[in-house]
Amino acid sequence: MPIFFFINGALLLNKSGFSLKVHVSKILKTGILVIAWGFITMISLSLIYGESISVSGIIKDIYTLKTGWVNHLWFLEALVVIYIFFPLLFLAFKTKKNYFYFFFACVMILSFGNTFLGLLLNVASTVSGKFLNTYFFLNYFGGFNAFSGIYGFSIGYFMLGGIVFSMKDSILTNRNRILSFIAIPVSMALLFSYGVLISFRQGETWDIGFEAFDSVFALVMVVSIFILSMQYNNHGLSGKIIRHVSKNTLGIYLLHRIVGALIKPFFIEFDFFSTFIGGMIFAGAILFLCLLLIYILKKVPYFNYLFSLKLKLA
Amino acid sequence: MQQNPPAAKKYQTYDGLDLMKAMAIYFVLIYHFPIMEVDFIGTGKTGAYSNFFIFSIFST
Repeated sequence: MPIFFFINGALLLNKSGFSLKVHVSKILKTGILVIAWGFITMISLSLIYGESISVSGIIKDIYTLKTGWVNHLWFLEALVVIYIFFPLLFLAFKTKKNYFYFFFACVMILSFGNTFLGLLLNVASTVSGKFLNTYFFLNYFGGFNAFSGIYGFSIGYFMLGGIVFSMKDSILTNRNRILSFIAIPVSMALLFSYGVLISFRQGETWDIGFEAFDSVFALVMVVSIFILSMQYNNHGLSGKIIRHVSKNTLGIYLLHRIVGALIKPFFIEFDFFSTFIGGMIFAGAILFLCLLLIYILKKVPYFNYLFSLKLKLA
Repeated sequence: MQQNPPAAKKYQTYDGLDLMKAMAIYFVLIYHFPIMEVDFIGTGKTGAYSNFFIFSIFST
């Protein structure tokens, strides 16, 4: 997910113009999509899982983003928060870079810095054998932390995307490509080591995806993936597939929970799909079916509104 | 003979960003539907460690 925030920032902050009217409509549309897809997903999954659910139950589950059902919609909530800040960020990025960098530093210290502090304390407490820290998600800055509880890291990735993309001509060098190529496996190894340590300490396997979004390792990997990806040139069949997937990422994201839940029972019958290669094929199947559904649903009047953040479609 | 100017693209696209978005959504799909074993604490399976290692890239 951090990659999406990063790309969003790269494109939006480096746009030449800004319309507040269009922007407000985009915020409203994003909010509407959370509610619409909350209902669609809750009803679809209750049918697939054979669980009856009341209207009031659905509303409550959407509001609390029920885990395993609609919690993936947090991404749209985080986008709305970013878009609320965006007019000021855009203005500062274009006219007052120092103000922008001040805000960026605050975001990074209070989100990534906070998590890094937790990481150091966790490692220190494990190595020393003394009780220092109990949980990864502690807010060490208390009431001073302006970005606690609002996915502050997503704002950090968004702003970083804008900065890095604006400097791409000086950043995209062979030296940085080599560094990025090394940084990815090193970051993975460090995050893995920390994940194993923390898993044993808490007595259950740590969520190395979501809970590491605001780690410095993920941050380094996102920038490294950007540096390596930017030398890619789209061509041939693979290029067409990548372009097509890229154009439909929002739709795939909004549909994948339903499609995955629908086909998972067929795949887990076979041992092969419990291997990593099998899991990749399963994910490929979800991707393909989502694309197929989007293609069909976009042909139905009004349904294409469900797959875009734009209020008015061309 | 006067030639027509090339049609301007409505939106600038970047192949690298397209690749990143495609990779990112694929990561999300594997991460949200982990039918491969990742839980090395619960199962005690050695193979789950290698899956856990690869899962670290899904933090992006």
